[in-house]
Amino acid sequence: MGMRMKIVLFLVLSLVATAVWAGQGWRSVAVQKGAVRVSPMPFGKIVATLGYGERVDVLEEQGLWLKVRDQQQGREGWMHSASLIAKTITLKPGERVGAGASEDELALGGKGFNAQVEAEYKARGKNLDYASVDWMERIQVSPEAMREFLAKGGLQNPEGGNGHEK
Amino acid sequence: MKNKRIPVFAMLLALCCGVLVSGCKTTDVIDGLGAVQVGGFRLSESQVGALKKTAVALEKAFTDITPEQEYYVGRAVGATLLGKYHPRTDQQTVQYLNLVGQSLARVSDMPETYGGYHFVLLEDEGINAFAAPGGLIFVSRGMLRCCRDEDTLAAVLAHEIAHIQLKHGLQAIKTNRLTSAFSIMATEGAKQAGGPQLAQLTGIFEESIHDVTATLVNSGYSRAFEREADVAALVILGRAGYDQRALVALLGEMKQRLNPQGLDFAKTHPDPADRIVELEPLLAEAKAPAGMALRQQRFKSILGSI
Repeated sequence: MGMRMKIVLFLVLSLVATAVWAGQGWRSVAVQKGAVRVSPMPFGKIVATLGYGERVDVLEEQGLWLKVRDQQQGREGWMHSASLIAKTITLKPGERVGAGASEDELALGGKGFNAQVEAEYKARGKNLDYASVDWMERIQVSPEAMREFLAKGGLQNPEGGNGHEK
Repeated sequence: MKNKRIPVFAMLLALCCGVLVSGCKTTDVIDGLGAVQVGGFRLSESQVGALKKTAVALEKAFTDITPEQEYYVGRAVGATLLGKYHPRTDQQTVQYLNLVGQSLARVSDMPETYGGYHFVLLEDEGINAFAAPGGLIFVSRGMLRCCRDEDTLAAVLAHEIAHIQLKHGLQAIKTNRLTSAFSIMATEGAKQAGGPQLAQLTGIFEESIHDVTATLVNSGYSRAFEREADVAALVILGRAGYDQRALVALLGEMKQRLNPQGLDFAKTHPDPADRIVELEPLLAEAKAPAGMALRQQRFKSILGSI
């Protein structure tokens, strides 16, 4: 009996440990608008924008930046590693992104705190101003405005050049 | 019996190695198992199912909260703050604040978040700045008054960006809430969330939002978290080309202006003087960067009258 317990424990722990290490050659985009840039620089020109859950193959690594190729259209460029995650992302329960996704990939499966929970919370809540949150999320800064802002403010950054896109 | 156990271990190891190579996940592997023979005992399909759930629950503890869930937590925290304070919506202020904020966020260790970084000025005379998980950042008019130039404003924003990247807000959520949420998510019925599960999850969500906002507005983060955010802010400021010493200048100004009995920053943050003492050794090499006068000029023309 004791031995059986040990085996079961071993099974569970090994599988959990390997799951943490899983996935070396590809990543999923972990943000809604993942910028793919021409160079591994914060203000590098954006060549494509990838959505949450899209998969990319990793071609090269440079510090915190990864050169990637998106699996759908084959576009290549640099993404920041913090915008990527080595896990499969299932957008909705049952929906699969990429090959090998299991229905039990619920970690990122759109379950938990989601739009549905938000709607329910909003209905229950008092003094919640979601309209202003939506307004706030729509605030955008264009690459042109950013470039001008950096240049006029004399802002240089060693890792990102001076904001002038090549 | 003993002889039988070795092949089982070998099989499990092989499976685990398989996971490493193929990049699949735990649950895929267990999915592949029907009824299994373990150490002479046969595990029924339902036992394998239970095992699968245990593995899933443990996996949750490792993976923490997902970017998408963090986003929804942040929106709710933001909705609570904006229910209390009015944002300033004039286009020039909004654009300028977001340009300063983005110039910092982009050079940070987490340039993008699920919903992106967004910055807003609150019509509040108290000295406050809040970062909701996921990238929503709020600065009060009272805090703005502590800023003498763009570099000091950048110091405020860099500190808040650091709180988001270090996930300090999320860490205010009591662990048992997340554990309960994960176990609900792991139940079979939650494949199509709804009904009692939705109500339960919403209850946990509500409590989690309360944990975060109460920390931001009332109790404040630990001194260790504030120090971590200060140190990360120096890095961000330096990379962006802003004056790192602006953080110390800001804290000095706050020390002057804070009412020790106040319900704002004074209540939720360590004494600015103590924070200055901790930062000084890190600033021995800091040099004044170029362009400070240019930036001060535009700061004055855009925010000077607010």
